[in-house]
Amino acid sequence: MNNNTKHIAILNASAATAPSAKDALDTTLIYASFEQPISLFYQGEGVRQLVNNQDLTTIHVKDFLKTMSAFSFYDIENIYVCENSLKSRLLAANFHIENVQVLTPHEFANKLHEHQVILRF
Amino acid sequence: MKVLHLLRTSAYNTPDLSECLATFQPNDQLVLLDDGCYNLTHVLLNEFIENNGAQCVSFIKDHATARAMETNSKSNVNAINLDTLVNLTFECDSVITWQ
Amino acid sequence: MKTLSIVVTTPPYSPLTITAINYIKSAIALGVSINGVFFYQDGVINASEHHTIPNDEYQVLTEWKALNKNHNIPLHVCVSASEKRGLSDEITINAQQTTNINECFTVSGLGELVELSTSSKRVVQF
Repeated sequence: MNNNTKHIAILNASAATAPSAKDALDTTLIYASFEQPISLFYQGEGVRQLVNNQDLTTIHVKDFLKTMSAFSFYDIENIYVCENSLKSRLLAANFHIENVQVLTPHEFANKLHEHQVILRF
Repeated sequence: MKVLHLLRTSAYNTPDLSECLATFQPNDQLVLLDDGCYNLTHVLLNEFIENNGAQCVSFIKDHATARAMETNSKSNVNAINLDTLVNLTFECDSVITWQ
Repeated sequence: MKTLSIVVTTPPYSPLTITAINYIKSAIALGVSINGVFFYQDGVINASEHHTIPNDEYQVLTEWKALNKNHNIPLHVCVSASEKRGLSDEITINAQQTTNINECFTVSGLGELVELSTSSKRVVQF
């Protein structure tokens, strides 16, 4: 591994039931385990990954959302959700993980612009 | 930091264009690739160009021609090729692909 | 030195993949060094030894092979994404063949994506 670190952003754009959501999480945890500074962004349908009381097991999908509670263990502390995406879906800021920061679209864009590598799933 | 936004889908199909524009900042560049070229005649993009000017938006010429969008588009958006896109990749600080 | 890594998530039958290939060719022609291509999600299907595209259509696998052989571009396929899609370098097809992944591709973990991200000036996802 070379010594460079990059500020990585994973932009989550898919609901938990889409395969992309799991791919985004796998990618996130790999960057974190290689000690890359990583931030998570939830926008559009991606905000649904954070919603409380989902039970994927009723449709025989592995409950990978549980793994998200391990974010603090991986030192993933920058977790941002777009306020407008919540509002337009009539969703309250009631999440199944802690330390999620609800940002206005302007703040959300500002934070995103602080990252050198941005992958969207 | 300056972000290069690569938009590859039509706003008639997905919310990618609106999500992209929600994160767009004044120094950023937006390039329409593939089905993203269909947005040349989408009201969301036209409103964006009216408010921000056309200089921060371009499209891949061959991709628009393939879709008859170059001739159908009334806007004065820049037509570029992939060489220009490669150069833009390094003029900007990071890239987001909306697809 | 301009260095670039590419993430491909689209399958070989999509015109989106042709765009990725043409972008890489442009970058090479402009003197950009491509550190590697990482195939993820449906992108791993590009590495399949067994897909057949009609002769009069764009030959995606031929193009990837040429980028690997003529320009020494490493082509990494994500192992977990591959196995989910029936692609593996540890299966027995017959006595001679124990893989259905083309030899130009390297089976790698997601850690390779981390390496490519940190070693390159820019990462572009297709």
